[in-house]
Amino acid sequence: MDERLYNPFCISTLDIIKEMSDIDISGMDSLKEEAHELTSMGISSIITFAGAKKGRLLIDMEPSLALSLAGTILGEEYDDIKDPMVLSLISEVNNIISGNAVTGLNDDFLMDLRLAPPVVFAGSDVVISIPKLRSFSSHGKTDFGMIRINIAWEGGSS
Amino acid sequence: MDIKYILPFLEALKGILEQFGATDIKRGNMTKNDLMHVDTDITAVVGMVGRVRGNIAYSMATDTAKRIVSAMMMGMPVEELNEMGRSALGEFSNMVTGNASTLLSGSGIQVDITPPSIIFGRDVYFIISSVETLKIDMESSLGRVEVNIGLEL
Repeated sequence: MDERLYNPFCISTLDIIKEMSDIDISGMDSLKEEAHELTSMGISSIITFAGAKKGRLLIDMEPSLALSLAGTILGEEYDDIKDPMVLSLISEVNNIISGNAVTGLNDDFLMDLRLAPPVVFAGSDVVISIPKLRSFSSHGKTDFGMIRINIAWEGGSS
Repeated sequence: MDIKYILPFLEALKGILEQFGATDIKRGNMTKNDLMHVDTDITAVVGMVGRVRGNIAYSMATDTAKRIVSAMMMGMPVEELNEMGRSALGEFSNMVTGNASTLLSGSGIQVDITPPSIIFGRDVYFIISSVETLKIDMESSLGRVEVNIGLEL
């Protein structure tokens, strides 16, 4: 695994969430290869990108963390992760995180990556399958719940 | 959203379904939504970048997915959607969106597609675009596929 293609997403997630909500993510474990299926923690957002390589960032979090992020950033209390404002907020946070990481990758490695719009979804017992892609995850903790960052690149990771 | 951006996806889906032997292909009504609520079991989402940015989601019941995968595997019976079946569904959404992007390119609209993701679960609420999402049902002998198209032009 070429860490230069993965670390920008992890760093961007920590920085942007701290900057936007003042929520600290601690205890991020090192990136580990995932199975082909992931069970959502509650709310998930996917951004895909294409350029010199194709790939995908998945940000997955527990409902309590999504509600705290929405409450802090939007200044209103929310109690349902299926609320369109909560879904839109998580989607926008992922957009900013991915935009930041991809700008760095394009500047450093001339990858010409372009982002598709974010997809966000919430439901019960949701399983996400990523056919044919090797993906790597890192988990972190906040005072409001767990977060997982999952990154995949097509055609390997170098 | 101009119909010229929508029709390639419907033509591509019809073409791929026909290629796998589906008959009685009928297009249902088109509705506009901000939030996409899916009450089927499986949704395959493919992204698009270039002159047009967006996401296209294909949702279907498990039985429909099994019939499509079986048709893709020359009629081999599909009892459950194992890793190979899920991979075939990803390929199905890739083929439809890839063919649609070729049709768009033929009209001078250059786009590239991104890797598919398959989401399993009922009663799932999605947002696939910050602008409106168009929903169209496509019925065929293989079952109903609900197509949600969210393009940012």
